[in-house]
Amino acid sequence: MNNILIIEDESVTRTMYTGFIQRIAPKFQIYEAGNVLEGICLCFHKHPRLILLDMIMPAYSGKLLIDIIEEGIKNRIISFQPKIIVISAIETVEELTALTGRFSVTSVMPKPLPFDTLTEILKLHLKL
Amino acid sequence: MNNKIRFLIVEDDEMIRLIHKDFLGDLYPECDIIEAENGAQGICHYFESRPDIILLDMMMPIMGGEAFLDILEEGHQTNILKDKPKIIVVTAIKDVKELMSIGKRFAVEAVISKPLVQTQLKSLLQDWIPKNE
Repeated sequence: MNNILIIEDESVTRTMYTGFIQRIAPKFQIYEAGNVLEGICLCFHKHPRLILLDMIMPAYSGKLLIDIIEEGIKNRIISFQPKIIVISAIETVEELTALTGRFSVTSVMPKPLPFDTLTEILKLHLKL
Repeated sequence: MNNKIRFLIVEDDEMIRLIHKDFLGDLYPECDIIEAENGAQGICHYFESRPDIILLDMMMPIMGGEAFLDILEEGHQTNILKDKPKIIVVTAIKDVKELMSIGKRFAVEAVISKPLVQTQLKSLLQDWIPKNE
């Protein structure tokens, strides 16, 4: 499915990501979630090819989605495997190592997001 | 609902899962029973299989029952989810206030304290699943 899911609690940032991705990948349908719980529901509902995931959000962090997707893949419960691009204001090496070590995480990007790098990542993973 | 009802058991204790499974299998021999050993697996099974009735433990590794309920409730609030499974929370929590707050949740139909009183579960299920249907 040509769907992309953006999970980000700040609405201005979300809108900015959406506008940017629409220009890069106009054939993709973009879905937005304002928190990880909504993001999990949309993920299972829309089976996105790519997820842009903010890590630090109120109540539940992006880790919850990663945990669920990895449990689903490891135990062969789910048949889809989205490419997860984590966006995080990384502060420690331990944090970066923990994120990059997760098998479901395709890339980890710093916040604020460098759009030229994102463009390259989107082109690579969406085969644009 | 009929005898072909689909159950999802979300419970980390293998022995309790087996007890639930035997009990449900005896009551409804033609039912489908899906098992998950934590909330994360449970959510995956929920979205993949859309069970009619869920037996949900609250305290589990990786992801507990509270996050499971939060996800489903968010799905309903945002109209992503249309169907509403009947969720029976089966918990070892003893604190009355905590039990009451779980029981008041939108997604929860009933709360049963562990060790599971099977007559309680049987009576709930018989209300929801009429015989000979």
